[in-house]
Amino acid sequence: MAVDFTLAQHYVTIDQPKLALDALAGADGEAMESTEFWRLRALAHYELDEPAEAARSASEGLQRNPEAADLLVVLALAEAERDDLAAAERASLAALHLDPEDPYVLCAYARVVARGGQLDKAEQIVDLAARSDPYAREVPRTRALIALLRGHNRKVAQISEEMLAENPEDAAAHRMRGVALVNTGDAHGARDSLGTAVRDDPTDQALAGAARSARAATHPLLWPVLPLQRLGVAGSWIAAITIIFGLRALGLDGASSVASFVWIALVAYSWLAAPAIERRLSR
Amino acid sequence: MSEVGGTDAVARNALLAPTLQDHVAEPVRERPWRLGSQIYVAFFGGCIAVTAIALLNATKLRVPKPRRTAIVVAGVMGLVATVVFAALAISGSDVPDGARVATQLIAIAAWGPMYLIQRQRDNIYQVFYTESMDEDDAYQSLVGPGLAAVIVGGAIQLVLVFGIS
Repeated sequence: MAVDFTLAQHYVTIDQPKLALDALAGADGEAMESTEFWRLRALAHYELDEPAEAARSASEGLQRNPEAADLLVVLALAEAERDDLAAAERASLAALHLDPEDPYVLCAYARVVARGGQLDKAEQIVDLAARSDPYAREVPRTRALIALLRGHNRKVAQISEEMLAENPEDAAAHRMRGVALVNTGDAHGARDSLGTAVRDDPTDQALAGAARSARAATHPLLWPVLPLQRLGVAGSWIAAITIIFGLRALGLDGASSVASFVWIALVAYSWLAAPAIERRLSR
Repeated sequence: MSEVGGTDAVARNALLAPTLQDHVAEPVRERPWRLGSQIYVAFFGGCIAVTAIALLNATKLRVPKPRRTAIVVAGVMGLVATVVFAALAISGSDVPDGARVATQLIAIAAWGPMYLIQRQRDNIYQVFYTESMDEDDAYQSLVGPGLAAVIVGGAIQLVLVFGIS
C-alpha cells in the first residue's frame, strides 16, 4: 500500500504523532526502504515521548541511508532524551560532518551540549548557526533555551516576544515566555502565555501543571502574596530580614514585631491558600 | 584573508570537537529538592546543615565535582565566620540580644553561593528532565531530610560555637 508522507508530515507538524503513525501504518516494502518513512516514524515516536522507539526507527533508517543528516538529528534528540549524551553527541557530529552549515543541525547539537551543562559552548554553536543563516527560526529558540538554563529570564521573555511578533501562534515561544514570566513572578503574563501553550498541547502534564499554578497565582485570594511571588523564596526572606532587623536597628521594636508577624502570616497563608486554590482549579 | 578563514576553521573545529563522551547515561534520576526550600534549613539549622543538604542536592543534580567542592568551601567559610563571630560576641552562657540571629544571617549568606552553584543544573533538570511530570512530582519533599539536617547539623554547630566561645 502506498503511504501518504505529506499527510504523515502534516500530523507531525501539528503535534498529532499518533495520527502520523496511523498514516504510516500501511507502508509497503518500497515505502519502508525510504528515508522519509523512518524519519517521520522516528519523529512521531519522539513526540510521543518514546525516545527508545524513536532512536530505533532513526537507526533503521540510517542502516538504509547512512548519509541522512536529518535522521541523525532525530537520533541525536532521541538519545539525548534517553540521557545518553555521548551517543547524542556522536550522532550530532556525524550530521554536522554531512551538513556543516545547516542551522537546524547546529542548533540540535547546541541543545545536546546545553543539556550536558556546557552552556558557553552551546552559545558559541548557536552563534555559528546564526552566522550561517541569520533568519533561521531555530536560532532564537535555542538562544532562548540557553538563556532559560542560565536563569536569564528577562532575556528569555524578550526573545520570545520577538518570536511572537513574527508569529503570534508560535506555541514554543508562548511556552518559553510563560516559563520565564513564572520565574520573574509575573503571574498575569505567565497565565496568558502558558494558557495559550496548553491549548496547543493539552497532553503535556508539566505544562498543564505550570499553567494551573500561574492561573491560581492570579486568583484574587492570592493577591496579598503577589509580592512574595515576585521576589521568590530567597528574595522574600532577604527582604523580610532586612526590613525586620532594619527596623530593630532603628529602635522601632514595635514596628519590627508587626513586620515579623505580617511576614510569618503571609508565608503561612501562601503555603495554605495556593495549593487549596490550585486543587479547586484542577477539579 | 585566507589566514582569517583558516583561523575561523580552526576555531570551528575546536568548537565542534566532542566534549560529552565521558557522560554516563542516567535516564531515571533521583528527584532533587527545591532550591528555594534550602533557605529554611540555612535559617533554622545553620551552616553545617545547609551545606549537607546543598551537597546532597548537587549530587542529585549532577553538579560537576569542582563546583561541589566550592559548596563545601562556602560552608566551611560560613562555619568559620560563625565560630569567629561567636568567639568575639559570646562569653560563657551570656548570649547578647541578636547574636543568634546574626549566626543565622551568616548561614544564609553562606548559602547564597551554594544556591548559585546549584541553580544552572536545577534549571537544566527543570527544562529537560521534568517534561512528562506534574510540577509537584518533579521535586522531593525536603521536610524529612531538612528537619534531620536542622537537628543534627544545628546541634553540631551549637557544640562548636559554645565549645570555642
